[in-house]
Amino acid sequence: MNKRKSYMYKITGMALLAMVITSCSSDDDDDDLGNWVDKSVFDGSPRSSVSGFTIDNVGYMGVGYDGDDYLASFWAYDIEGDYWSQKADFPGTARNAAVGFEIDGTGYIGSGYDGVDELTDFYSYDVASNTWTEIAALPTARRSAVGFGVNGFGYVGTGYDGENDRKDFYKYDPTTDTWTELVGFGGNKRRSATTFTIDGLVYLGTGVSNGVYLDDFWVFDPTTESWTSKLDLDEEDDYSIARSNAVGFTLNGYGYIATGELGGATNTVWEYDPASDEWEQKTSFEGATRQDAIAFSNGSRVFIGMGRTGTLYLDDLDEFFPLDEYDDED
Amino acid sequence: MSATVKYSLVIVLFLVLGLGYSIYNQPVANENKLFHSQVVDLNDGYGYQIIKGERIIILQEYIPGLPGKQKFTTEKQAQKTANLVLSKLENGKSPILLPSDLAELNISAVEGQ
Repeated sequence: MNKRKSYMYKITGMALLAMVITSCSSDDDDDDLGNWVDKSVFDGSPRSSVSGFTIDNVGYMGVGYDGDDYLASFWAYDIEGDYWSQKADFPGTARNAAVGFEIDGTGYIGSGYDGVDELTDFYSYDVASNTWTEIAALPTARRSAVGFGVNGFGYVGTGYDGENDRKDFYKYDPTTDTWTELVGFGGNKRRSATTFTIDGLVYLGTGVSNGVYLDDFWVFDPTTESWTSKLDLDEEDDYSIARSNAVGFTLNGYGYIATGELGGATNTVWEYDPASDEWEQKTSFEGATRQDAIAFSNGSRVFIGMGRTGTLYLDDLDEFFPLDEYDDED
Repeated sequence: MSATVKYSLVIVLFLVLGLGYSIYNQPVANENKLFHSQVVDLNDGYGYQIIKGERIIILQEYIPGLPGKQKFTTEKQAQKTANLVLSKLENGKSPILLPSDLAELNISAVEGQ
């Protein structure tokens, strides 16, 4: 009897062990850090090359292209409440590849492509009243430019004007509603580049021109309005950062370049440390590989979504936790 | 009770445990994928929310697409607009309401706003 009892204990133990082993996913210490959590609510509403900005805890996105139509609708994602609202329609021509940025609590969207022409018109969005106002047009038309708001001014530069890639920059002053050319960007002409802002400094990199993915990397100091070259994006042998149509965002003092296009859509994510001027690869974006996506970040939380892969237009949104271990079940 | 009976009891116990475990780990039931809508009374007008399972996915306090903060003047307006959003979502379409959708629903900007 005792013998049989111990036999039963052994079976029980082995069965329990088997259950524990099968219920645990294996951990791999070589994995890159960073976790992605699905926050999709926009199922069935694909669009790429959207533009937007984040103001306080709300991410705004609008315009874009769904594979059939250029879009004018404009949406707000409440980061705390995890829900969307449809806001006032964008008043200009429906378009994609526009730029979006924020200056002191006001959003701006302008330039872009309506399917026929590259555009110059620009609009500001007032959050409190949910209204759009047309502002001075950008001096030269373009799409796939970069745009950022910093230090009370807006800046738009690079892009494609319908014939050539550009390297010129313009500065928008909201108090006088005027654009002035900003000289001094030392990088090459390009389209579909990416920026992110850390501690008031704007970092610019990636993009493509004549089929060449650019690997120079720049920082813009808005107080002196000067550009300084940083280490190239291919400085280390294991870097694979160069791409176009990526998203850039800032989280907890680090910059990120994620997703994009490099002979096809990619989902890789790279983290930039401004103190060391070095890059580290993070867990790749969990959703489908994509380009022309959008990122919302309030500085402490970030969401990436929409975009396209080939001719498949995407409709999902994921939150990124760069410090967490990857978990494929959330 | 013979040892064989005890032994088979243990086996049965594990089968039950295993079954329970697999049911517990099943993907979320289909009800959580269903959409429904709710009209929201905002005192001086109406809005609506679109809910997927138990989660609010769209909260619309103002008429979608229109500039400014215009609420629906009647509960019925809010409900039929929410119904249109629901039917779009249920057909796998985008929940965007276009100006033509609002025109079809006879919803327009309130005079003087």
